[in-house]
Amino acid sequence: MWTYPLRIFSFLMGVASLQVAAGDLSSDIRKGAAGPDTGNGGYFEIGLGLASYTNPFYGMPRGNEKGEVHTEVAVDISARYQYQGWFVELFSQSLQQFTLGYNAYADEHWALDVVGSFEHNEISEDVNKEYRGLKTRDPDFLMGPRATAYFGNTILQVHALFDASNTHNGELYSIKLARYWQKRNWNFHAILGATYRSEQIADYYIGIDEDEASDKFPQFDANAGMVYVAEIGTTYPINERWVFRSFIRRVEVDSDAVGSPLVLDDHGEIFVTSINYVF
Amino acid sequence: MTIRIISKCLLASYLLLIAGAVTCLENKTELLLNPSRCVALHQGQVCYQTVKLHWKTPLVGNYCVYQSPKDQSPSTQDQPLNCWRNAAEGVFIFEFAGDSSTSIGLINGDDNTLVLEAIFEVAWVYKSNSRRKSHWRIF
Repeated sequence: MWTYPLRIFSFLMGVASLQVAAGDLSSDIRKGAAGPDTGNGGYFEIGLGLASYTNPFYGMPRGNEKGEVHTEVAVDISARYQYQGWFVELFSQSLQQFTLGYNAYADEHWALDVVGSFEHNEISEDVNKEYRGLKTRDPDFLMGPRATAYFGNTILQVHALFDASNTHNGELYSIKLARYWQKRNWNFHAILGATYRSEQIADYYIGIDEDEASDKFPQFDANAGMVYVAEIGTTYPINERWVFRSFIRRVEVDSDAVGSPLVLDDHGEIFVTSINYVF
Repeated sequence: MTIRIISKCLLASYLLLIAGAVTCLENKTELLLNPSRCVALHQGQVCYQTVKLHWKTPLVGNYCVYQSPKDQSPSTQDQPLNCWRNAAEGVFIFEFAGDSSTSIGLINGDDNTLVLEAIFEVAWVYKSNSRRKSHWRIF
């Protein structure tokens, strides 16, 4: 499945995600960062919030129906640590949940990293009984370069990731453009992004093979496809330790993918509000 | 122009230079900032805060409030934030906008004496962790 709903799922379950080198775009734009974090050190924060969402994917969460709104208490974890160029990031509100990486180049405006991340989670009967009859889709681990450009209040980030886990041998390319605005001490942000997934990835996670097809899950061959994301949000420093966050995100899935019995709709939304403590 | 300092009061001021509130007990003089700090999200961002300043002295005179960087004492060479004539007490509300802590001083315009000084702190949640030199690195 696409990472989006899985990320939502992880977010709601309070599972964090680590991220990569120069700085995850989603976390950087929320912090109003003007350049890459290249020194040693890091931070950790934990928060509690409320999330309302619709998920276009079958079985996420269990019993999910098309357009159904789910509201749950959410644990939000953000962490980043870097040492001598190696870094690990965890940011559950991010578009890239968990990333490991190495910062190979950085200056005031550019950062080039080699990153690795778990982009797709397991789909199996063990995860959800609703997947009974389907073959297990294993989680993957993708690796590749990531370039980030910081120009004033704008951040541009591109990924080119390749399967390093021998799960599906697929490729993923993404581009995201983010901008923030400061209005007094409120920070507002907007993100637009597009992600391409190769046929190997799409077919592995949302395709239904002939030998597992049934009335419930009819055969489906998935093609390569795009996912588009748009997000706006705000972050406010209550004091030096407490931060208020809120954002709304919409994800559009290729309409071709809706033909899969594992895809209920061509879009999903999530609205999250949280209060975080920064250590 | 040099500023003479009322040493006794200034000593007490330094001892009580906490939370933007300075009171010179002996002379019943005070300079209060409310709030006394501003918190920005990220180090280097401009922090915005509406600040209420209240001052009081035992002597009626011509007073001005000045602002200067934290490590410098306010002086009459700076642009005054506000002035009062023939007053022993004053209230002033101003909009602070800055990326670093600042010193606020009450100066007696009759003899250019720095009567009281308070610090307005600028803090942030996320500190900058950037090195600005461009570099390649391999392990």
